[in-house]
Amino acid sequence: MVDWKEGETTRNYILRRLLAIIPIFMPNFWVGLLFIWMFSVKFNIFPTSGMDGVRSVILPAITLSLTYISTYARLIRNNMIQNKHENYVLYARARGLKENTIHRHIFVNSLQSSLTALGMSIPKLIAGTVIVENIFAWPGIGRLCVTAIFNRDYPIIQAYVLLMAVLFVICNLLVDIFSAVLDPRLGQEQ
Amino acid sequence: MIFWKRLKSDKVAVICISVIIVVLLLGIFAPLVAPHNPIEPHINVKFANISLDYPLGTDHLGRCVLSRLLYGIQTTVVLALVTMGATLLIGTLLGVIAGYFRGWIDEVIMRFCDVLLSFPSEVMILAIVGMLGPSLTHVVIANIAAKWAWYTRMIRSSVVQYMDKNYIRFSKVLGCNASHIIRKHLLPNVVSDIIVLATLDTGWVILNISGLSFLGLGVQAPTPEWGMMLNEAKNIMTTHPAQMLAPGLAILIIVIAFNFLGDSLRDVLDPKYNQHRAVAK
Repeated sequence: MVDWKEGETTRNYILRRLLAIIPIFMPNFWVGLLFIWMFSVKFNIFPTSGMDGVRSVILPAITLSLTYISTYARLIRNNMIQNKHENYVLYARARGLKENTIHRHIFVNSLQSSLTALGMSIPKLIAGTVIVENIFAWPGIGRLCVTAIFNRDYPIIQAYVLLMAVLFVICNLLVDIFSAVLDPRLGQEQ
Repeated sequence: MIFWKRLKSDKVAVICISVIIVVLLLGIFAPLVAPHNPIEPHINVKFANISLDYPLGTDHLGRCVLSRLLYGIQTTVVLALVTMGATLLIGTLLGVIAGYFRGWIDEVIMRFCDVLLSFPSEVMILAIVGMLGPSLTHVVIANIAAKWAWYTRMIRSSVVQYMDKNYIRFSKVLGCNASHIIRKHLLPNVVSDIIVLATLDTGWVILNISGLSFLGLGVQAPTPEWGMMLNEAKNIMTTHPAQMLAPGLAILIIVIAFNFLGDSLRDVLDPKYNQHRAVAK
């Protein structure tokens, strides 16, 4: 709902566009390093690397998700603007529903394309974990794959690729099922 | 030349183009501009502070950071452009063939693209680099292999769309041969559709190349490259955190420049989108 803005000046528009777009193009290996330096070396809040406990999950998770947060914020905003002019909103207004209730309806209907985009982002997230695991020294499969590449260990690389392909298919299937649940119109198409 | 006029009136586009041109020129003339040799180590001046002699200081081997950044343009940005160029070449060639001639050749090319597209490109790049071994050429090959199918499909659908236009039918009736129609009527239209995608994707390719170099899968040791420089900065983060600022900012600026330029090009080339945005604003 934060992104619900219309009728602003051009200067504001460009500024907001810059703010929204910079996180998308910050290379995540750089963001990870900056986070480690700031929160681990400078302020000593989170551990620099390794995998023990909840505290060491926070930095890698933020690093990985930073790109997607602003992408999805933009996507949902565009959808909400489009949905605002639909008939059901007009009807809801005519019935005299509260503005908050109407916004909730619009929001739920705008999630549809984000869900589809989520299915597309999963492989990118998986590839992203390769870099993040390397920065934060996590013993994950991404790091295993990179080590395998250096050691010319072909079976492990093959297994990694196969696993990723299977995961990709499963994720897409789950997204399809969920979007049919969210929007019954999709399930009835024959 | 209404195109240039409209592009010039867009301030963001002008800034982005100038940034890209300046960066490219600096990269091409790096041997003349750079104050020091980017590879030769001088251990006695390691971690030097910012000074007139070393405008951005030196790294853990006493190499001038500014010189390494400038030479890094040659590897990162120029290679990204080469990758995009090769992808576009393959994509245009196959896409035009498939879209113009249709029939069995269209089926063969498109089904092959479908097979490649069903696989996530990030994992495919990792797989190709993994099989061929870590090296810069292999990273470029992997990027081209992961992208060309997508471009072929986009160009084909664009060609198919233009084939229905009356002026193409008219040229066919007049008896123009295939190469004339493709060169004079199809390519100018298709290029304007694809140039936006290509500009937007160049930023993605830069991120990819430097990301793989950061992992050590791309550029090998002494060659200066931005991702590689970040990797070296990672090891000395606790003592010299300023080392990771310069290469990271360089990547950020060039990627943002390419993306904003892509957005502006889309506004200029597609009046419909422009109107839509005016309404949305």
